[in-house]
Amino acid sequence: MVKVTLKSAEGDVFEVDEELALESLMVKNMIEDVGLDSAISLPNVSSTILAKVIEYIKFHMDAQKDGSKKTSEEIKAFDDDFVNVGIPTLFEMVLASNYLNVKSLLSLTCNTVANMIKTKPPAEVKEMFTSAKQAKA
Amino acid sequence: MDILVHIIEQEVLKRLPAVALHCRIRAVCRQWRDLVDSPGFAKFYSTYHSKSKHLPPPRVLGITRNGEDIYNCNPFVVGSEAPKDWVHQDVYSHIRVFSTCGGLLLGMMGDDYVVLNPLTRALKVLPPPPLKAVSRAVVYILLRLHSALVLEPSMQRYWICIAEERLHVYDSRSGVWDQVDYLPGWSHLIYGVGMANSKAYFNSNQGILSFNMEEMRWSIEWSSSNRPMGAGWANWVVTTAPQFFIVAIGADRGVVKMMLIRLDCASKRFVKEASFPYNEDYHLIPPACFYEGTFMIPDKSKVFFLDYECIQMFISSLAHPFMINKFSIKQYKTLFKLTALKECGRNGRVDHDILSL
Repeated sequence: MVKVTLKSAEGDVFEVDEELALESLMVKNMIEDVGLDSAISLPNVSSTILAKVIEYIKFHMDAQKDGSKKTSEEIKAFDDDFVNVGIPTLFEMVLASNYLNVKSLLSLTCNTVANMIKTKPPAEVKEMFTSAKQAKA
Repeated sequence: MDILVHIIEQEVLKRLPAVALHCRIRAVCRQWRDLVDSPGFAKFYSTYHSKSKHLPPPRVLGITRNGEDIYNCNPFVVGSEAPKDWVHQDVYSHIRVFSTCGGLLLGMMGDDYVVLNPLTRALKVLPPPPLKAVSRAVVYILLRLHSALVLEPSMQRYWICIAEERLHVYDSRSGVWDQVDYLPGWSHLIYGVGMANSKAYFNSNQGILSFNMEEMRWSIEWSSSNRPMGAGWANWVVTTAPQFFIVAIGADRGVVKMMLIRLDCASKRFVKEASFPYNEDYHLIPPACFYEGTFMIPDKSKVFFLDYECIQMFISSLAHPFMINKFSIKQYKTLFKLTALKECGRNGRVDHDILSL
């Protein structure tokens, strides 16, 4: 199995299967452009977030494989648990999945944020977004 | 980085229901208001929603007091340039509409009683109800003021009630009219019939009655002793399963107010959710419409939007069609009923429209 090396913002190195890395359209384009020889550096993604993204892709790839015994309830439970994180982390995952161009994760995280703000009064939504922006800055 | 944040905001905001965008998101900050109003976002939003299985933003039908004119409008459409005016629906010019519920209309087409769903264009002709009234004019008044279309929350069954000397009840499952006697001392049930937990709620001068459609049984929910508001209040019942509301208007210590009261069906108590000073022309408001967390309450010249999730009232720029055209407003021409169109089918499938059952 061909391996791809991904480098996070902190410079940590993640070695993943090529098949897994190709789930990110952004990484896929990079591989097509520069090949597999050098590490692909992702300056916008921190190590913790990158690890989470890899965990997510891995789980869903395993679940889709033939012979997988995972039920749709189990997958849903994984997804629910996966986005059950603090708002700053959730926002970072939205940013990372947009940057890495992982459609399913972007959809999951954006829907989670959308559900959170759907019923909130404007002041609370504002508060939520400002504090998240400040945390990142 | 800011550009990236902007993309993310778009990604999140496009997933929100149009009503929430319209009522709340625009109020968060100026950037978001500009974003929601921009033509680019409107395009982005409609592309996303036409691809996904979500329903398009609701269209609202407004029906005039005499039931002869139907206007269509989409107050929640995203983008400031999108048209938000009322458009007259010529297709329905031969139908006189009396009652609405969850997107279904009850009306008369010539001598036939019909139920129709404008969204799916399904139409069902009902057997004529055994009314005592014979003259056309009396029947019209009776249907306009004392009839109700009651849709089951699962949207798979509906009832029609007409309050005459006895109550006429039509059940879409059996397809026949039944007659029911009132409780002794309770009569003159007025419009504002809502439904929750398979009960239809009737507003009357003495209080609020419920009629259990399954068991064909009456019960008194709120009598005058535990009535939410005193005399001199005009009020209308709005239901949205599983909740139940009264929109009332009247004087509270000398100030005219519009009040939203939530009735708790289980404990038979009521909660005053909100009250707003009502400085507009004192004019009785007809039954309001509830859609995705927002009450739409028409009065003589405007439509008010009351956002239930965060209890905010705003007066929409949505004037009545006649105001725009600068026509003189006649009493019978004011908007009388509003309903948001919905696909009333099994599991939201149009080919299984409730009317074809």
